[in-house]
Amino acid sequence: MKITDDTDLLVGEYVLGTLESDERAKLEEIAAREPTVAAAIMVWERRLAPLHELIVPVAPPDTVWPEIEKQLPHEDQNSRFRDPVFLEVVQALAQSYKADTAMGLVQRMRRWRSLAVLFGAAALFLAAYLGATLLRGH
Amino acid sequence: MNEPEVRLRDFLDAIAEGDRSALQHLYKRTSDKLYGVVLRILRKPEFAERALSDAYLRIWRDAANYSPSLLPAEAWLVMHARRAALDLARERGLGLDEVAPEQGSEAEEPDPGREIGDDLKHLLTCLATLDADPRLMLLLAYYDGWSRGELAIEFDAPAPTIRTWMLRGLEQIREGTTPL
Repeated sequence: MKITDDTDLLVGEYVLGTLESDERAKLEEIAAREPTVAAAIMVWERRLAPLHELIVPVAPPDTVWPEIEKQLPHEDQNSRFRDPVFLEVVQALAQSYKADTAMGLVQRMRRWRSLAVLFGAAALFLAAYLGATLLRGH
Repeated sequence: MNEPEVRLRDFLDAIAEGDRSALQHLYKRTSDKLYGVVLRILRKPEFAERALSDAYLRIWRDAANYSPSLLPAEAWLVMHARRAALDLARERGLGLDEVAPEQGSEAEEPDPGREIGDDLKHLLTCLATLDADPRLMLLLAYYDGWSRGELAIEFDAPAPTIRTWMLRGLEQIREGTTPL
């Protein structure tokens, strides 16, 4: 959808900030499904952005960051790395197998956000380890 | 591209990967600026603090969508701060009285004495071609977050008239600036 001149100026009003609440919401809703409108928003943001250079910084109270931190998703709490049994298994593996390789994997795995990826990788790791031990055993 | 801009982009990349400490580093470097933005619009510290929290949560959620080709990192952060502040101001229907500067409010006037870049010089040159009232309206809208309705009261003109002036001003800016 190519946007009209009027729509483009409406986007300009949105970015400038003069639209009322319902108009803002409506435009955001349209932008969410119309990439051309979303693109027009960014073009207007870029046009008006230099104005921010004149804004005088003010230090916020120290209480704000802890509030933000509280509202971030606590991904680690659901992570298997907080699960004592899992940690014990990994540590046991690390000791009995190649210590540095296993810990290296733990380090890398900490960076992965998706639990699906995490579980999948852990399963592969265990399977590979068990496979290797079994083969060695025979 | 200056060094701080590169650092901000690095933080945003890390935040997009879910790195909470990167958000904290970004907060340390940019919260004074963003608080200046939201406090100017909302005036009351209690609202401004809420908008500042909201701004960084938006940044956290949207970092993966940040594209340096569209907007410099700092401008992108300011964009989220302004959106958070404007949404709060409009949602609460904060009128002029409610956002009137409090005694000893820390929200300072935009400082024309600051060193400014070429893009801003260009934009100000463009704004200089407008009449004084429409120019002031545009600046009040950008820095102070005044809506059409609020401008209509302050400038004692019907809202549609205000809108016509704003649109003319925006057209002027569109003609005078060539992004990308």
